[in-house]
Amino acid sequence: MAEARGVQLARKPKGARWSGRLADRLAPYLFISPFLVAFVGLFLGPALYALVVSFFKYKGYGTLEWVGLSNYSVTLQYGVFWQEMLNVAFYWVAHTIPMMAIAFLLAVVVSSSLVKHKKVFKPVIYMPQLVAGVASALLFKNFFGTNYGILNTMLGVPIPWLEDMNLARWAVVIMLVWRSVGYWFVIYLAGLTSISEEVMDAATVDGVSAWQRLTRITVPLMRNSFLFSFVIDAVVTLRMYAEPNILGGKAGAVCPVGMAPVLNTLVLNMQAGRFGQAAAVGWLIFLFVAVVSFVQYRVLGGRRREG
Amino acid sequence: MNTGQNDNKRDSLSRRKFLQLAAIGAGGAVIAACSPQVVKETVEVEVTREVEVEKQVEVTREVEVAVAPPSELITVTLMKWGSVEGEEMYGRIFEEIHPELKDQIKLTVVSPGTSDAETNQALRLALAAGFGIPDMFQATYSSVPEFAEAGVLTNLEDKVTEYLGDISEGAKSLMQYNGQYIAAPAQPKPKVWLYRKDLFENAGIVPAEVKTFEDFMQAGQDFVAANPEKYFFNLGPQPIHYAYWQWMSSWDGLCMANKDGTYNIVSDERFAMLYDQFKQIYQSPWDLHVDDFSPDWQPTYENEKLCGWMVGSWGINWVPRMAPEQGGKWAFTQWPEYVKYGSDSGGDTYVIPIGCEHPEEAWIVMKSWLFEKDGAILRWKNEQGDFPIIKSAQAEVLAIIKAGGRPEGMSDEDWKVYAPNYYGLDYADWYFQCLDLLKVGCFNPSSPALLPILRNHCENYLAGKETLTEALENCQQDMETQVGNPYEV
Repeated sequence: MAEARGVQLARKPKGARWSGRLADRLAPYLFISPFLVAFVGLFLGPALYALVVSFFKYKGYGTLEWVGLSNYSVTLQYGVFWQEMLNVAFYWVAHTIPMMAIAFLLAVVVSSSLVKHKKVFKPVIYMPQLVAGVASALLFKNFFGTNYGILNTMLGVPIPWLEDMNLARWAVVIMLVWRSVGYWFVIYLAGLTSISEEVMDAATVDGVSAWQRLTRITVPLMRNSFLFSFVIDAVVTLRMYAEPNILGGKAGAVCPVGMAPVLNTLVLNMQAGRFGQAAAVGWLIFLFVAVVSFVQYRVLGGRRREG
Repeated sequence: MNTGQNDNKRDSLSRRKFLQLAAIGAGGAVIAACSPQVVKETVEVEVTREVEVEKQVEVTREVEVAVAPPSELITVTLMKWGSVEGEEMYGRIFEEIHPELKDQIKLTVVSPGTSDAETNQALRLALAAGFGIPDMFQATYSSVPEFAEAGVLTNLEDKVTEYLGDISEGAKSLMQYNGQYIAAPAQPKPKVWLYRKDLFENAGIVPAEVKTFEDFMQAGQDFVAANPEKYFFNLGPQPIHYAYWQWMSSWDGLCMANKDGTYNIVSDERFAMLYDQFKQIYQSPWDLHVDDFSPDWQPTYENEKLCGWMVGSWGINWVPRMAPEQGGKWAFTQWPEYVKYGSDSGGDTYVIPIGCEHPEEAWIVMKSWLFEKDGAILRWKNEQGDFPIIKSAQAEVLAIIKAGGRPEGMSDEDWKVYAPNYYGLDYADWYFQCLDLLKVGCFNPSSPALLPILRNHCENYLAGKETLTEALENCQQDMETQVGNPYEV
């Protein structure tokens, strides 16, 4: 009797085994279903819709007119589009290098024993990040005014920061560096604190200099942080819109082409009711950002196996 | 020992139980959300009594007549840009003009954003969705062609005909597209030339005698000779967008493109004239290289550096705010003779989109503000910038202004910048004269896409990056490739 019961207990009925396994497999998906629903409904769905619309001429209402790849080809033939791509590439390169260098060095200095009042420096360095992007752009607009701006008043020279496009781009870069240093400082600080002190102590005992510790130990061990920061910053910079337009725009209009980001072409097409072309521009920007991110990932060594 | 098996049984049971409970909970939530709402509705029934009086005997009879249908309060939606702070004012004006309708029509103002681009976007979305279409929509005239060509605007001809005799000629141009009346002029924006009359007198410049472009250039020279370190005009390296429409609308029939999709940028010499005149002004010593709404622009008025502004009539309210201490020194008149006609974007209009819920009620509200004399005057009293477009109301407004006096309760600060006090009691005369010269430019459904291209190449020409020929040719090429036929929407 006990043996029979034992056999019964050891082997579940077929239906129960199957439903149990199914439940085990479904449970994780049930937990991530809210994210999946939001992702599909709010991102993937609209993105695919935009992809479809990019092959049509469509003003947002009425009928769609099939135009094939025409929206893409006219955008790629447009000189203004390429000028704007060059602008964002300039913003990305010109601001990333000094910004990352400053943020990293600040993190190294603040985390070292040289600095006593760390609790004071950390929030002060991070503070610009707390200012909203639009607000900081408005402040810098007055800062860079030609005749009445704060900077020119201090220098005593009427430099046309926002009228000369060669200078206007640098004004954007300066603003981006000022605003973003604090954020990456915090990221690098977190990365530095994850480096084991034993490694540093061992290096010190072995007679390694401070510079060698920084370049041969700290920087390699910070590789993942650098990868993260460069990729994310590139994505954010290549998609920028507010900063140049507030600095250089007037009376609600967008900024001049000489300093305009590539999103301006998309926005102007949207405002003119040319949704097909706007969608095409959006997908071209996506491809550009994806390529840049991929290249950075490979160059900075993001080849670690996952899972 | 069956501990492990019992544990597994307990585990599998608890996991299964959890999933069952989760499914029941989710299903219950869905059912609750989808259940029909029960709404209590109170119906007011009106019962009348008839009182019948005979010759000698008073007899009262109660008569129960057919129940009157409950009066339905209709909400008319106005979609406009900017703040909705004036919502109460708009509604109040209507109720004051039509008290008999105040229990039947109620106004709601919605604002999807701060600019006309955002409201246009909101209307497109509403039209695409097929619901949420506002009963009244505020549109700059430059946006009207897109919606008119798409056939989504109500034809107002049969409604406005009785008022046409009383409407200013300039305002009438804002009401039409392709010969059809499809808009009501909410805020016409004729061109005005604001200037420091004391400094102009000092230079011997009489605005009415500035008739040609050469006269205008000479006036600038005379001004700077008599008033050193001051400027006659401002045109910077990136001229503001409305400047293009203001100048282009001066010239009859100057269109960027024809209906068949062919462009005129190269062939019509007036575009070359536009670019060239901008460049000549830009290179003049009397031109201040500060564009409108740039960071340096407002201080130049306060510091009395910039002493003239050729702009739309909305600028009348800006100068007092920028230079409050210069009351009595500024005046305005029409633009120089050769460019006196036109406007910037035409002005703001109200349209009634097809597919809205209450088009008839929207018309009743709209005409109370714009075409009925009392409503037009009341609207002007509440918003000083919105002069009436009907002549019968204009005469009364002029009389009110010329009677002078400080409005009751007005603070010293507001009185300083109050237009009749700032410009003088004849300022409205000048406004109405300028209004008669209003003429809309040749807008097409793709004008918002074409203007940035025109601007870009003009800026390149001003900066010396392109010659005049290159700028015009490149401009046309970009328009042809990027926009194609601007009338095909």
